Amino acid sequence: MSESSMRRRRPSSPELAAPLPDNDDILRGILLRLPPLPSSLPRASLVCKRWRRLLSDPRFLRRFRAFHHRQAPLLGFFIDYSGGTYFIPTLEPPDRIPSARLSLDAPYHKAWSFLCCRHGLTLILNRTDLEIIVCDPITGDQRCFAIPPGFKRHDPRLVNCRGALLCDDHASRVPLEAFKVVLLWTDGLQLDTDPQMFASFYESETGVWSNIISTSIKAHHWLGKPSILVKNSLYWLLHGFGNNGLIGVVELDLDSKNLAVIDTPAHALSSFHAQILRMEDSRLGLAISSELSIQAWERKANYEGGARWTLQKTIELDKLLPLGPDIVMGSWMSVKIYGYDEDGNAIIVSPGREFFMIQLKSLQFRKLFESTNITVYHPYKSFFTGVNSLSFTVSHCCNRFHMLKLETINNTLFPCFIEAILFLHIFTEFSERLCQGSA
Amino acid sequence: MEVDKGKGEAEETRKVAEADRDTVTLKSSDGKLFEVSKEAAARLSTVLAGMIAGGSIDDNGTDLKQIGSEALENVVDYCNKHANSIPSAALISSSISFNTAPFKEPEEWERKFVDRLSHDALFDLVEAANFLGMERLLDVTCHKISEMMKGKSPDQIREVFNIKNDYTKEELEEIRQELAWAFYDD
Repeated sequence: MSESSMRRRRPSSPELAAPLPDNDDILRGILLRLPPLPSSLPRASLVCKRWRRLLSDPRFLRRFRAFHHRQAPLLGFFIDYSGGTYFIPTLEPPDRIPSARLSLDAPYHKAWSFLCCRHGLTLILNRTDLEIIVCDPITGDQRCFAIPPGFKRHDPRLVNCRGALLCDDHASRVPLEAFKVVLLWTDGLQLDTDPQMFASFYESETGVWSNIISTSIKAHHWLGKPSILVKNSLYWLLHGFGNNGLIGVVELDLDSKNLAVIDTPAHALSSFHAQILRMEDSRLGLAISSELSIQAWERKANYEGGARWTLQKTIELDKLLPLGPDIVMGSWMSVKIYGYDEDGNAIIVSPGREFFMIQLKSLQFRKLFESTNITVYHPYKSFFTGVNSLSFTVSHCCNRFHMLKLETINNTLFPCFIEAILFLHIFTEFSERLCQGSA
Repeated sequence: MEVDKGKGEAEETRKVAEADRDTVTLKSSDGKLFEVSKEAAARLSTVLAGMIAGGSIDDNGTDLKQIGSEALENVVDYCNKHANSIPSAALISSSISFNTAPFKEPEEWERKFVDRLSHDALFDLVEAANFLGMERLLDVTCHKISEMMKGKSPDQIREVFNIKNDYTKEELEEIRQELAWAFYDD
């Protein structure tokens, strides 16, 4: 650095504030340390053109992500809305990104399933075009690729298909640069005596799906809720049709590529009454709700080389949360678990209209919002790096032309509709089998 | 620790067996001399470490013409305080790259160290830290400056740092409209 560049211009009047060093490296160092909240970069970029130039540099944005690695704020939640993704912001202004900015509608006549969100990306299955869509809602960037071969358009097996998205936890990588997708499905609708569950893996770097692996699941089941990543395995809830409740936990070991079903410690009414957890020390956990209490179980290795569930704690929600008397009186309805933040070990629960997020270790909680929409709430954590050098405009900005207030999405029609379709498929297949049998 | 010694004392310093010295003497742009532990200097500053290793340290006072005495005094003070504090895991690992390493909160004493400085002194110190390749001190000073923007509107940030607004009214309006949510409370 030259001697002159070290000399800062002094203010002409003593009343004026001291100016910052005239050095881009130092300015970057200062801007890099802004809190990783959504409004930080947009606000700073409005200070002057020089700051905006520094802040819109893709190398700076990459460094900003790396610098705040694993500290992406919880921006809100995504829910499946007719297969598209509907964003519910939970931060206070000015960090409250409007729903329309991050939500994504399924195109007309396309059957989409919103599968999961992780590492700031969303994963969508296009059942019409047999495609996977990986989307970065902040930048609007998308990657599309075909699902494994062997499916037909609107294949009933895809209705209950589950998927997971994984990215390298490498600080200097932008998630969409390198990711893996896991797709999980059952042959579900056939009345086989030995129904199977299948999985296949896709790597963005090679662009190919792995060979399909499978395991026996004894009977036809649903896969509930999005996967939870614990160490290097993915877990899903497996539950039965009708009132059969929770059946087991599907474990997919990403190292050995092994698929297995493990037992559960207690019964749960439905997948909304159970939640897979990532406990401390990256152990597998399971929360089961009953009336107004939640039991947190932990799976520990035993001396015989196996593992067993042990009850870790019971949380009495009527003692913890500020619940109204109507909720306590109606406790027979049982509190539902609507989602889980696997990095923060916090569950999203609602005993009625009010939604709370409870950190399971500290039991600290906060009220999120009110809703009567019974669906999975996917926590969404990411950095808002949408500062553009020429203009802030991001083309996909308003991909929803209708704005819905959360309070207005107040029914459970969509899940019912899916169940009805599935039932119809089962019934049709059953009839066909009967006909074949009689022929 | 400022030594700012007279001529006689400086002469005395020179007499100290050169190879065995465990301090180095640094000279500010305005000619003041400061002594700092060689170990701390080498550990905290990549530039000083290079000079020590390369034998380009002048026992009469290594010229740092780019750094004024007030900033150099703060640098030396920081090095000495750092040498005396028990290094935490955060500080040990802070040797990895300044701009890509995950954020490490300043220690309590580091916070106090920068809190007492005027804006002018803080900005001089960040420049000195940058010049000397002192990653941790840069981390702490940049963090402090960054904190000064907390909760402030662009107008207020310009005022705090004496920055000229070079946007036109139309440009400002356009940006505000495009990301209106981020300026909700202004």
